[in-house]
Amino acid sequence: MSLLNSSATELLSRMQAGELTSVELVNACLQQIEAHDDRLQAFLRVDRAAALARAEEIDQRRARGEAVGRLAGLPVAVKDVLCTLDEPTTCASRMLEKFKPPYDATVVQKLKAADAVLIGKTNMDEFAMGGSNENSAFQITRNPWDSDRIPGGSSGGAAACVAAGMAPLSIGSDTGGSIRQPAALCGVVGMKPTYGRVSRYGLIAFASSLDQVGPLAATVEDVALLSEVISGHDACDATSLDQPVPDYTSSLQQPLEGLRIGLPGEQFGDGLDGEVAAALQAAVQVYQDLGATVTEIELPHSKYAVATYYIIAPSEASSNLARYDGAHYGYRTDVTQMQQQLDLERAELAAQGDEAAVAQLDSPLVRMYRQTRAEGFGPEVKRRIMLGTYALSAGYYDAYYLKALKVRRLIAEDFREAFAKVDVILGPVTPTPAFPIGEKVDDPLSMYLVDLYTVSANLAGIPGISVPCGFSSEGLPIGLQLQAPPLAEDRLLRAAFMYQQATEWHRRKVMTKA
Amino acid sequence: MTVQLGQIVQYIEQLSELDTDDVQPMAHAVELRNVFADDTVRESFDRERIMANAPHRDDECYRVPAVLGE
Repeated sequence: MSLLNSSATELLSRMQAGELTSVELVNACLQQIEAHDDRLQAFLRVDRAAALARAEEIDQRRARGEAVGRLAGLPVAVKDVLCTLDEPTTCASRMLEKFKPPYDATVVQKLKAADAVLIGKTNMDEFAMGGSNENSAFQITRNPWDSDRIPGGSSGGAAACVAAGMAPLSIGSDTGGSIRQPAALCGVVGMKPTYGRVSRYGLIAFASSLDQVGPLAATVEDVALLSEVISGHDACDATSLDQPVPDYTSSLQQPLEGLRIGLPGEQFGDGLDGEVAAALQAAVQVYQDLGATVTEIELPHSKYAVATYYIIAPSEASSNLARYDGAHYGYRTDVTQMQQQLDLERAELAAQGDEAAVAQLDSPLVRMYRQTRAEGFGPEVKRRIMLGTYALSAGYYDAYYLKALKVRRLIAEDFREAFAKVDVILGPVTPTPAFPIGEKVDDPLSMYLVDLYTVSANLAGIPGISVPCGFSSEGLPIGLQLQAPPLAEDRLLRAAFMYQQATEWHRRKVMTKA
Repeated sequence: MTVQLGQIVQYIEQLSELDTDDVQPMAHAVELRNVFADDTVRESFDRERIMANAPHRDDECYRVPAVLGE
């Protein structure tokens, strides 16, 4: 079996058995990146020398019989939204193109402490805003299954690199579906943990009440392994949950007896692609054959989830992104040119005798802020900042922001009531398989509606996982979403593993050889 | 951009059809409580690492254009 077709769990056992070295594995990943990433553009940066040096060091420690970490020698790709000490962390934005954080995100610290090999930083939609990776300021990642199509987003690079065999493990972030949706569209497994399960310290903020870091990998057991490493309480994140992390990898093997699955009727109606619906129906049958009971449930407010999300997320984003003003770090406009332009404007207005306009002209500092933000942010980020500031403005606060917070509670209550009757909720991740690059770029609302099935989990704070469940007639992957109550990741992973054990979808690989 | 924003605002206005008079707003997915940290001295970030990111600096200070005009 080729290295790149093996799961991270298998690779780890082979390294532990002395049949494989981390250097061999890292080299195989680097070769795959070299062979295919010019086309796929999943990585923003790959540090070959550092990755190989780290692999060498871990191999030596292992050879000497020293204790090594949980992920010892496994390559991990990290979405470029997580701070890495002294290494560029761009959020795929011109605003942070040259930013080198003075610290590691907690998740990055945990990966390093587990002796993972950080292989590179992956592409994303700018500031994690988007579902296609077309909003990256630097490059468009392509779907490994069809390079004319989007890989999904915002963790598009994170999903594509796993699908293409460039890294066995990958870290993404999910604010409204940004792990689950690209996982589904690239045919890999991706989990958004419960809000607060994984530390957000060092995760560059988009919408702080919704953001959550999570794992992507080729199999459920790999996602369980990576979850175990990155989860846990962190004093540096005040919203971090102070709850022990269960042993996900060992409970995984136990099937759930009498599993009760809920199907939300709302999610199987209009708007869901026929092939996606058929794949989900087949998955339901698989669960029934495994002894699960399936009942229809109602999430009556789910049709309001996208509207609610697109008030709350931009509102929080407009506040979080106010920090990018060109003063302390990140991009700053060319101040000399800016000053000349300002002088010119002042002289012209003075020549016209328009003293009122002269008085209203920006001060140099304010002009620097404005121009820095106008030049440093891309169109989608600006759109969301404007939406958010509008929704939070004095006259509209009650009608938009406060209203959305109330509907958020109704959405969360729907889940609470549903989970009184069922253990997990099964539904689609995306309305369709991956769409062609460029199809939705001029229609942001249609892009937002792709998030229909994923945003509710973020609003309610519950965990959700996307698992491969089929392929379209065009050969594009289809994902199935399972959702569970807060902190029931172990149940989610076990339910997902039962399905994976009964099916072969996760074994289908887009590229078989480096 | 104006047309697109108009469409989005029109879409989000559908929330007004819901009666939410008796619903408590939910700002966070987990109910938050105050978190207190022990008042202990610990190492701070390295100043130079932070200042190295400054677009324009003067020793230990950030430089910005004139705040109050000339």
